[in-house]
Amino acid sequence: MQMFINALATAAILAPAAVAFTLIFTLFRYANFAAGGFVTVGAFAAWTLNAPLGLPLWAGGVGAMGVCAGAVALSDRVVFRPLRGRSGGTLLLVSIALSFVIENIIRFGFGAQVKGFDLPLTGPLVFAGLRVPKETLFVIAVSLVATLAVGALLSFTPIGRALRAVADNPSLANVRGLPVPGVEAFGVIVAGALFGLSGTLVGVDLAIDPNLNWAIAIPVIAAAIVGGLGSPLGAAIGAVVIGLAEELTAAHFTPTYKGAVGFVVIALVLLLRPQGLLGIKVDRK
Amino acid sequence: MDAYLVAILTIAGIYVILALALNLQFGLTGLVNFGVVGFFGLGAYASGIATESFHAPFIGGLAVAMATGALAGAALALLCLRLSGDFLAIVTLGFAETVRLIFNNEDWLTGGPKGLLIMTRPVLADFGRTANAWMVLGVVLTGAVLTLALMLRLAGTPYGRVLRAIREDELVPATLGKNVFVYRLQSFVIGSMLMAAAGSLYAHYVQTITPDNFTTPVAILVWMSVIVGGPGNMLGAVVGALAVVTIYEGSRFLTPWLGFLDAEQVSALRFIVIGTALILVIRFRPEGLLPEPRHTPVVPATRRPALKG
Amino acid sequence: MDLTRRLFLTGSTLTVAAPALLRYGLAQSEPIKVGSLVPLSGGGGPYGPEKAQAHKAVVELVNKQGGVLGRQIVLVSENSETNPEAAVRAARKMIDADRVCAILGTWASSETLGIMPLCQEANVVQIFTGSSDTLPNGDKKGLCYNLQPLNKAWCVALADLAAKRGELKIAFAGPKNDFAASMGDSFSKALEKVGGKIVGEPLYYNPNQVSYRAEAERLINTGAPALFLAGYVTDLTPVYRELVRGGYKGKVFALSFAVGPQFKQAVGTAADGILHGSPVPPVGKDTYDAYLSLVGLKPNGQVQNPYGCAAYDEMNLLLLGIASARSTEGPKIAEHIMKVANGPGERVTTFAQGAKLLAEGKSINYDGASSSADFLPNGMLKSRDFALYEIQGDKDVLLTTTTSEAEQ
Repeated sequence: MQMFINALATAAILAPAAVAFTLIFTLFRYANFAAGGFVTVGAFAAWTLNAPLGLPLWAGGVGAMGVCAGAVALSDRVVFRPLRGRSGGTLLLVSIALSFVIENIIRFGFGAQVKGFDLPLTGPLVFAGLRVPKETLFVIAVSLVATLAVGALLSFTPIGRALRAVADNPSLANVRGLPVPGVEAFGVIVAGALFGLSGTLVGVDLAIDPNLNWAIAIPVIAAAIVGGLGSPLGAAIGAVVIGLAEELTAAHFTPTYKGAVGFVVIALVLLLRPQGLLGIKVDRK
Repeated sequence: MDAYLVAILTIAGIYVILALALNLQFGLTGLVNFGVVGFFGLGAYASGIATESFHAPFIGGLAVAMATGALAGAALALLCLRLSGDFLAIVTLGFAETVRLIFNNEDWLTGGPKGLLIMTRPVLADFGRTANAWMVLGVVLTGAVLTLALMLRLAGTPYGRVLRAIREDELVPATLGKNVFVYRLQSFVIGSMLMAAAGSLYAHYVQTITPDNFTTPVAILVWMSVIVGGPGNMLGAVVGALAVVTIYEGSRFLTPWLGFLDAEQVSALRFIVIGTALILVIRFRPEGLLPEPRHTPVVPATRRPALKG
Repeated sequence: MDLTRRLFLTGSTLTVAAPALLRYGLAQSEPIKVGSLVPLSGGGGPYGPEKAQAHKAVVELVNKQGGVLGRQIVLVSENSETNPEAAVRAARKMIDADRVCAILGTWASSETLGIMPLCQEANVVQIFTGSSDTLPNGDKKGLCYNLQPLNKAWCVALADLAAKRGELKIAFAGPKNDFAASMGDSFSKALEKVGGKIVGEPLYYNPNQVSYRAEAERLINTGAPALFLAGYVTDLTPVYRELVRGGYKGKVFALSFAVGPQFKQAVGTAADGILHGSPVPPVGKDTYDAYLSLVGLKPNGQVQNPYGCAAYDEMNLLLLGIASARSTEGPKIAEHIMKVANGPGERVTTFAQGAKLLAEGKSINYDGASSSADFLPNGMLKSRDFALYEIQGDKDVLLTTTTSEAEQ
């Protein structure tokens, strides 16, 4: 049971980013490996607002979401939009290069020293033999609210419906009068905000440093793939699955192979059930 | 200065082999293989273990490396070659990372993070450091030239044409009766075998290998060689590898001019430049420095009487 | 015709001879080239910059004071990327293109060992920090000096310090990297020698991960009253945070270089009570404080920049060695480094002091910022004095000291 709580905590950090990843995939049909880079940007943005500038953490978080939204929008405009229509492999390659560039820009600006939020470290709440760290509750709560909010947005609002229509078939949506560029921009901003949120939550949990890029990218992508690309709810569930997989590996196998878990899961899912848990079967080149 | 240039050329030679192998897989056949360093590392460790623990000569190590690379390539290909481009990339990336974790964790086999010390060298006898360096360079360059010759052969023959056809649209060659999967498998396995061979050469050149030598930034450099040089063009891959090594090493000499930055920033800047260059090339000149030679069929001129009298 | 030919011959002879003549004249004022090879990215990324900064600061200071033997020092800095292959290529450039007389600063033992064959062959001095037990192996022509105690020494000292505090049941955890990889076994053996026992098996984890909850969970579940965490600041911070959040109530031992100001800032008051071990207490020592002020830091009662102060010693020892040897030839410099480091002679703590005394023909004994800088014949540190500190409200309070009995 303790393991489940721990898995939930990990999942809560990964979920927003996984949802963002799947959003971008659905809208633009490519896997954006720079997810890791954007989450790192979020972490550093939140830190900059929190530690040197002294703002409270929630303000840092909101700021991080804004910065990330901007970053994703900028990169979409400058890097990805001119390459729309190219093969998924090319776009993935570009996104890997981009994540590399982002990581090093952060290293250039902030140095490689480890950083942390200005937060007091406290012990856990203990009940029924379970230990629940206070931050974990906070992280899970925030993540849950965010994921539900985005899910509701996509399912129940007009803009959400428009997003799904554009994702499904952009030319048809265009013909029907939907403002495709506007909808895409909206999607990009939501994705960016989610990356920023994940970045802030990561900062609560781990040391903030440029190497976060690689550490985060794989579990996030794994979560999205397991859940099924195209389904935000799936991405959230996928995050829980990945969290559990990592916990189980570390507890019963050996912690040193935890890093491989994400990859193994991705491979298994892609081979056995490519559409993931809740995804739609997509014809890919 | 000589010894420095010899060292640079040796590394360049190894990168040329890697780039050629990747060019076969991606440039000709369209397979997005991000597991480059996985095969590179497998070859290095396999060769090292063969020569150090089992006292095989260098040639034995090289053979073991190539066999390991081929087997691993085949296994990986059988598993996931049917996946589409970006997923294949992620899975192959995962392969490389998992392999690196195995190198790091299995101390009993690989020496773990402390690394593997390799005393065997591809030299005839120990004639002193400088002579050794030239001999190793000779072996590496021979390897590079042989690989290039093989690749040019493959690219120029009907075999190469089939690979290209598969890259463009696999439906067409399938309709013509070609077993697309087998061709892809062959391309992948030959490529991974060559990458492993490069790994063997590398291991016996640097003489100390650690899991840290086989990380993703190396893969990015190899990819850059292929993209910048010209995917599909074998000579392009050679040019690309040389260009990448030159940029990487050449940027060391710019450090005095960048004195206002601290050393960390200069290092990060170098990687920023490399990543950005890769994106720019894909954006503005996807065919690379040396575009793929177009094999257009010769159309016989039709004879038609001029309409206007 | 004849005149022209004669002119041509004379002219060309002079032109050919000129550089040689000039070189002879300039040689006396030619700069001395020194290589600084530190990790600025990769696993050692957090620690390299302070070394590079220390090297640069010392060189700038010495140049301002007139250089060594009247010659200015040119520092060639490169990034070793915590990768032996990158280190070798950088070293190649330094040795062949720049013609350095020494390469300082390598941090990971794999880098140091990787560039050793080149340096040995070119008779280039190596001064570094490294802890791998394989470093002393082999004949190194006396060209190598190590300013960090070896793994075994760390473990024996820490076990001893733990026993002094009454902690005999300790669980071990560390990242799977060059430094910690063998520490688990060494520590286990060392602890047994002082009557203790390690709890469970040594736990190794991956340094770059999303979450360390599971690892912390495992440690908490061992029920061990004390833990020894052999990690670096990058992984120690999240692991320790998880331990605190998970409610671990036991004692935590760490290594001083991992619990510096960044760690304390990241963890806050929860760092109180951590016990950490470090070789020879630099805190409060005059050389250490001089180093701190040189790089613009204030002594604050904490162990700051553990690698930077070692790099400070690296450079000072090299320059004093050159001054004493009156030569830039590797073997001569190395021989004299031993003399200036071990003495016997007058105690000096800066280059300026030492150079002055050397010019007067006196012997000196350099006492460093990171240690007393006394070496065994194989270039490894002689003194194995360790100190145990406890973190109390942002300060490192000295508790007790010990001398490690590990055979070098």
